[in-house]
Amino acid sequence: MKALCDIILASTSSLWACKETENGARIRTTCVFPSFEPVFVYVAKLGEGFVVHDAGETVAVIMAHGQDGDAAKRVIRSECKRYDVAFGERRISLKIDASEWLETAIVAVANTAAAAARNALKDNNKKTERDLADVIYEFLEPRLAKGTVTKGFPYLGESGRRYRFDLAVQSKDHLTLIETVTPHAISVNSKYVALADVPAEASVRKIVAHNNDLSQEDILLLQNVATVAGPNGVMELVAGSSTKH
Amino acid sequence: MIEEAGGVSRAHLAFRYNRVSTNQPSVSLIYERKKVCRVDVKPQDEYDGNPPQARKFGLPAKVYGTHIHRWEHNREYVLECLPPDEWEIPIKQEISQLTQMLGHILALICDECGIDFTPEQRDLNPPSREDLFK
Repeated sequence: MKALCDIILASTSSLWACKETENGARIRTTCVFPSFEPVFVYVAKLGEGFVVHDAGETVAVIMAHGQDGDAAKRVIRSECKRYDVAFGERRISLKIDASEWLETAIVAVANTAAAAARNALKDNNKKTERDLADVIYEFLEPRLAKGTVTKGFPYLGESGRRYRFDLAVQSKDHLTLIETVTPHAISVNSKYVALADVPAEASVRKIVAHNNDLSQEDILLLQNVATVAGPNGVMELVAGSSTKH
Repeated sequence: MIEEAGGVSRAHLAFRYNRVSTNQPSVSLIYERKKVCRVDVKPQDEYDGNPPQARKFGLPAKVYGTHIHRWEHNREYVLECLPPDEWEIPIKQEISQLTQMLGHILALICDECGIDFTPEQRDLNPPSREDLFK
């Protein structure tokens, strides 16, 4: 009778299969895109070392999910830092000096590709949140003192968790934190948690901005932790109290 | 445990003990719910991979046997490479394979984290394995 390991190795021999192509040696990895297609990575010689890359397939996969090229690139770039990989116009890649790092580089590129594609599926919500944040920023920035409005404001919550608020308006005595929310459970829940973790202090004002599309239940929920307003309301609330002098 | 004046626990040790691989315990120092140092005892013929960021410290891609996850190696990774809501210290460095006893491991973690742990305090006597889960 065959040993269990022999059965497993025989039936999974296609994993890590390697084939020479014009892009370099193509390796089928154990990572998958959201559609459960395998992530392939390519290895090419570069001087004494190697370059490991995805041949631009991640951008193609994300665009096939309905995202535009800019959104695909933004999501990929945000994922590249985790494993120190680079992203050019289309390719995710990692250069290494020695074969000792090949296994790490293949795993790093494949995981970056899979994670970026998965995050791109979630990114539609974020895009709408970002659009609303951009609209409010464009309105407030010229009306307030230079450097007063910040996008992606880092904040340490009372619990010790770190957050990045969509917008913040800082003055000498006050800080206004603004979170943009879309009518989706992920958006409502994550923003609720972030705002609830900001201590209730007179010097910190918390605002939820939405596109006048939240349900009454969501508005009531978010009112427990912040002032809730549509874009015009937010602009009035902030610009009205902090106009440039 | 590190206690604040108000008696609030700020740091603690976490132990991972695999019931299958009983010779591979892992000890972590958790500070404000975040792991800042970790020592894994492993057989010398087994390896764990390092992420690419380990290259800048001259560390190898594969780390064989017992190793330490130092804060000084992982600080930049946590603060610069991970999203703000994630925390992990994956960069590791091989240490002496003689590091097997709990007292040695704690002394190493304390030394890494600037905690006073005198030689007189290092004589630790954990219960025997068979008494652990009674």
